[in-house]
Amino acid sequence: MSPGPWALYNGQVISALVAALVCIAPAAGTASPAPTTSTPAPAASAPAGAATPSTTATTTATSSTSPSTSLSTAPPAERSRLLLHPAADGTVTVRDPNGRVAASVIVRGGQDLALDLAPGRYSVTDDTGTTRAVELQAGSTLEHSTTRAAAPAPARPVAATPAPEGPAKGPAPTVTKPPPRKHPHDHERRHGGSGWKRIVAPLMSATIPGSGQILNGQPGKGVGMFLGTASLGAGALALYLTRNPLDNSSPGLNGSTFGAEVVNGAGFGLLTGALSMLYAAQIMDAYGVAAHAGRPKPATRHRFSLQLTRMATVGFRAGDPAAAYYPDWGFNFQAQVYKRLSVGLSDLSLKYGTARTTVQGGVRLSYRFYDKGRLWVGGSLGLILQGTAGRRPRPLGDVVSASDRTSAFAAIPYAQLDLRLFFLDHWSLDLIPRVSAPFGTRFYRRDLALPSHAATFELGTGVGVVF
Amino acid sequence: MRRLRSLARASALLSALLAPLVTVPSIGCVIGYRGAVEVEGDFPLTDVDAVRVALPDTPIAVLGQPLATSLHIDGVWTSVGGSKRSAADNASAPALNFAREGRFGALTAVIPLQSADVVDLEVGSITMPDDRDLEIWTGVGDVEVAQMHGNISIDVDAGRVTVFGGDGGVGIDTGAGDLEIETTGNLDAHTGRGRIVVRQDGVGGNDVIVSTKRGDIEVTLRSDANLDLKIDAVGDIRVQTRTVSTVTAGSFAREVGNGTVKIWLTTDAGSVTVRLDESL
Repeated sequence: MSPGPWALYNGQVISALVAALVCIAPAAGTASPAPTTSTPAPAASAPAGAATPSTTATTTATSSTSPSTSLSTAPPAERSRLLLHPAADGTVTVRDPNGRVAASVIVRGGQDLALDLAPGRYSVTDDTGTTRAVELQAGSTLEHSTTRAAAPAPARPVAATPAPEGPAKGPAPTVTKPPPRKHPHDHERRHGGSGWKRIVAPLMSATIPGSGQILNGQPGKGVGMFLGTASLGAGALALYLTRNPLDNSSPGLNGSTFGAEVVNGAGFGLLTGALSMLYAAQIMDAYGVAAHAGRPKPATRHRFSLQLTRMATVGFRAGDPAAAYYPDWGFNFQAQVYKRLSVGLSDLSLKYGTARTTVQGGVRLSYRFYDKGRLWVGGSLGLILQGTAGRRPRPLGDVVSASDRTSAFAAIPYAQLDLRLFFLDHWSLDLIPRVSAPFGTRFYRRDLALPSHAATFELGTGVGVVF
Repeated sequence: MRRLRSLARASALLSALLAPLVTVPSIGCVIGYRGAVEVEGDFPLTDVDAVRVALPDTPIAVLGQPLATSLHIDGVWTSVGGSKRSAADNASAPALNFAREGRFGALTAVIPLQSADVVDLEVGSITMPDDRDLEIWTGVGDVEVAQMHGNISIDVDAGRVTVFGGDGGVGIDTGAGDLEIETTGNLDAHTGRGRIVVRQDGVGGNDVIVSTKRGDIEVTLRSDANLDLKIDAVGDIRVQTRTVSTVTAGSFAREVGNGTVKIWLTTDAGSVTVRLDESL
C-alpha cells in the first residue's frame, strides 16, 4: 500500500528541515544548485497495467487542451500540467531533479493523461528507458507524446531495456507561454509561495545567517551569507578587542594616538555597518525567495514609513583617547502627506551616560525625487532636539558649586541624503549621508559627546519599511 | 637619529592627513578645535586626617611631603569645541572643588553638564602632607603614590598602580593594569588583568594578600618568620625562603611558626614566585 500524498509531502518537508539544519554547518560546501521552485509533489499512479512496448518519444508544445484523464499531484497554488499522449500501453515515470519519483503512471495507447505537478524541471522516462527533460512553469501546460519505434519489437520486461544516461537526443520540449498578466509577480504574490517557509526561512536567517537560504534550496548563497556575516562580525570583534584602556592611561600622551584611534573607529564603524546591512538583507532575501516575491515593486503611494537607523561618525574627543567612534541609534516615523513628500518624527532615542540621561527626538521633512524601480533617492531636512538631565552626586559638607548645572539642552539641525534600496515591496536597506552642526553639546551614549558648533559628517545605515 | 625623528614626524603628518581622507567618505568626521587651560589649586589640610582625590579619567601622581600643610595640585583642562572660542570656553568651564566634612576632605572636579564629556583633566602632580590617609578614585589613568605614610586606598577602572609607602596599610583595586607595591603596611590588592610585584619594606612581617585574574605574581619578603602561605596559581609556584622551599603548581599551603603573617597569593592565569630578600 503506497502512502497518501500528504504523508509523502510531510515527509519531504521534514527531510528538507533536517537537510537545512545539517547544512547550517559552515562545512556545507558548494552543493550543486537546487531549483528555485518548491519541492515537487508526490507521485501518483493510475490503475491497470499493460504490456510495455518499445517506443521512441517526441514532445510537442501546444496550448492547453482537456485530457481525457487528469491526476493532480501538486497543491492548487503551484499547479502546472503535463499532458501525456501515449502511443502505446506502458508506464511513464516522472522524476524531479533530485531523482525522486514525482509521478508514476500506467498509460494506455491513445488515451491521454494529464498530470498536475508543481512547477519545476522534471525528467520523463517511458518503458524504453528513454528520458526527456521537461520544464513546467506555473500555470502552463506541456504536452509530451510517445510514438512507436519504426520496427516494433515484441513486448519485453522493462528491466531488460537498458536505460541511457541523461536525456535522449530529440526535439527539445518547449513550454506554452502563460497568458499575459497585469503584473508579472501577481501570481506569486497571490499564492505567496510555500506558507510555512515564508515564516520559517526569515526566522532561521535571523537566528543563523544564511540558514534561511539553505532552507530555500540555495545552499551556495546560504553559505556565502553565513561566511560574509561571520567574517564581518569577527573583524568587528577583533577591532573591538584591540582597544586596550591601558593604552590611554599613561600620562603625557596628549592625543598622540589620534591617528590610530581614527582608523580603529572608522574600521569598526564600517564593519558593523556592513554587518548590520548584510544581516538585514539576508533575512529579507530569505523571505523573498520563500514567498516567490520576485523583483520588488516598492509602494510609492504608501501612507507611513518606519525606519531604524544608526548614524555614525568618527570624531575627536577631549583627553585620551583623542578620537572615538560615535554611533547614534534612532527610530524614525514619517507620514507621506503629499506625493513624494513626507514629514514626521525622527531620531527618537534614549542615551545613558556616566552620570546623565539624554532624551532625543526630532522632526524631519523629506522629499523623494527619484523612485524608479527598487531604488529611491531623496533628501531630508530635520532638527534633532536633545534634553539631558545630570545626576548630581551627594554633596560632601556644605560646599557645592553653583555652576554644577543638572540639565542641558541642544538643537541639532541637519540635512541628509536618503538612499533606499528595496529588497521586498515594503522593506528596504537605507544608506544616509548626513551633515549637521549642534547648537549645544550633543550627547551620545556612555561618555561621548560632541561640542557645540562642531560640523559633523555622519554616515547612516538602516532598515526601513513603508506601509 | 635626526633622520629617524624626521621620518617619524613625516609619518605622523601623513597619518594625520590620511585619516580624514579615509574617514570622510567612509564613515564621517567631525570638524572642530581643541582648547587647553592650565589649572592650579592649593587647599589647606588643617584638621583634616584623610583626603579623597576623586577625579575624572586622568593619570594621578601623589607625592607626600613632610613639611607640607596643604594639598597642592596642578594640571591642564583640555577640551574640544566647534570653534576656537567654544573650545576655550569648555576648557575654562570646569573647576576643582575641595569639600570637607569633619576631619575628612574630598577633592573633586565640578564640570557643568553642558561641558561634560567635552573636557578632560590631565593632572600634573599632587603634593600633600605625608602623614594623611589618602584615597584615590579615578576612571582610566595610571596612579603613582610615593612617600605617603598613612593609609592608602586606590580604586581605578583601568590603570597601572605604583605605591611606595603606605605604612598604615595599602588597599588597591583596579580593573586592568600592573601593580607595583613596596610597603611596610598590610597589603590587600587586586587587579583584573596585570602583573603584581610586591616588596615588603622595613623589617617585614606585614600581610600580603593579592590576586589577579591574569598575570604573574612576584613577592619579595623581608622576613620568613611566622608565615601563613596560601598560594593558588594555574602556572608554576616557586617559593624560596630559609624556612620554605618548593617548586610546584596548582596550589600550595604552608604555615611557619605561629602563622600570623598572611601571604595569600592567587592568580587564575599565571605563575607565583616568593623569595626572601637576602640583603638583610
